[in-house]
Formats: sequence, C-alpha cells, structure tokens
Amino acid sequence: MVLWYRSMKGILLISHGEMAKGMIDSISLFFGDLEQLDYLCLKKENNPEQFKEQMIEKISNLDSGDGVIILADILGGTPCNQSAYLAKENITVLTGMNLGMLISVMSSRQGKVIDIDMILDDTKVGINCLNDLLGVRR
Amino acid sequence: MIKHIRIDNRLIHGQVAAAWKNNIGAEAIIVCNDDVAKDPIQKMVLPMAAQGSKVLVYSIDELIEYDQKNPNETKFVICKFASDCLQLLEKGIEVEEVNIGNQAPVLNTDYVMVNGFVAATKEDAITYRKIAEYRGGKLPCQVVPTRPVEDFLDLLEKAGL
Repeated sequence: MVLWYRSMKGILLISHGEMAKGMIDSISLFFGDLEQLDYLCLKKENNPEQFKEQMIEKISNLDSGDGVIILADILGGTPCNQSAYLAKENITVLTGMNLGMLISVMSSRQGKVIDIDMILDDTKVGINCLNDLLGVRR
Repeated sequence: MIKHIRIDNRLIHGQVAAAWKNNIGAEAIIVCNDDVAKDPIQKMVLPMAAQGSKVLVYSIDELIEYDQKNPNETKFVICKFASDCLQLLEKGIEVEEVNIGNQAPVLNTDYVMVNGFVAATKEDAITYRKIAEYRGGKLPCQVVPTRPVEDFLDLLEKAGL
C-alpha cells in the first residue's frame, strides 16, 4: 500500500484593513480548496509589534514543514515591515499583493518546487493598460 | 531646517509618507526614535516605503547633530512617540509645524481613543500639552493631507484626558 502525504506551503495574506480578508473571498471563485491559506488584517487599533505577534501565531499554524509564503499588500507598509522580522529561508514575503499573484501562488504550490521568480513575472504581466493592449486611445 | 514633525507610531507607512513629503516639500524624510535607530531590520525596511526619497533613521541625538550639520536641507521628521518630539523641542530643535498622525494603542496601557486614529493615555496627554506649550498653545492633528485638521488639545479634553 502506498500512502501519499502531500505536504504544501502555507499562504498568509497580510494587509492594511480588510483587503487580505477580501482576497480570500475573491480567490474562492477560482479555487475550491483553501487549505493552509489564512489572512491577517492590520486594524487602526493595532500597533506594529502586536501585528508581528499575530503573524507569528498564524505562520506557526500554517507551516506544515514546507514553509509559508506571505503576500503583503504594499512594499514598505507596516504589515510588510513587520514581516521583515520573519523573512528567512522558507518564509518568503512577496509584496504588492493582487489577485493575479495569489492565483499564481495557489497554482504553483501544488507542485513540489515553487518558482518565486516565475510568480513575480506572472504577476507583473497582469499589470497593464488594457487600452494599449486593445489599441485604443488612453 | 525641519519643516514638519509628525508623531506616528507606524512611522513611514505605505504611500502616506510620499503624500506628506510632497505636501510638505521636504528633501529628506527622517525617522527619529532611539529604539528604531538601533533596529537593523527597521533601518533596512523603512526606506523601502518611500523609494526615490532620501530616508534616514536616527536617534534623537543623531538627528540634532545631523540638523546642525545640514541646516539648509528641508526635513520631514517622523517621531514614533510624542515623547520623542518633546525631547527634540526640549533640546532646542526648531520646527515650522508639529502634527499628530497615527498613534495605535500600546497593549496593556490605560488608553482612550481620542479620534479614530490616535490612542492616548493620561501620561501621553501631559506630554502632548507640554509640546503644545512650545507651539504657542496649538497642536494640530491630521492623518493625511486630504483630511481636515483637528485641534488635538480639544480632542484630548473631549476624551477626558
């Protein structure tokens, strides 16, 4: 008998306000299985140190041994800056979170190796001016 | 020359820094707090929030020294706590504007939210009033340039502090 243990990276979405929570709602239209996916929202009444503590707790719940990818809403914001204390091998932080990035991360974590460069390239391709692509004046 | 001191315990966050920097017209953004100046992670990540701008992270004494050496540079200073700002004023720093930005509550303190963005304790209120004494009895509170300016001393009084 062969037992298959599928180990997978966890994903944590972090944002100013409820963006990260909304991302979960949006991604549920694309993926049925939202295992090892969680979010953390910085509220007005949170101080940065408190946010970091909450993040540590979330990560320990999400990490099943393969590490966690953190998507932060904006480079240099408080969620991102606090995640800087946690970044290390297998705790990877990507900034500039958007739906395309999350789809790319969700798709690629099903494989054994996650290619971060490919995820970033994918995400950047999705940022464009549609008028230019359509050949319509801006 | 320090054009503006902002008191904000989230320091430089996202595009707020850029909005203020352009509004103030400062050449350098300087984060000023003794603990932050000793934190290598914060020293690395804070400049990322305002890419393309000159960002420095200094202790109170370092800032005073830097200001003396570079008197003509226009500076936007972000203090983590009101006590940082008071120390700067007590040490004779000259500044055109002092503004209260965000102060998220510190856990396990007896704080009151004086508006949607600023938490203050009784001790904080004393510090803010001392700052106001240096400012001709006035202390504005404005989170972002596009929001209205509030009278912070009024807010403290309404909050019973």
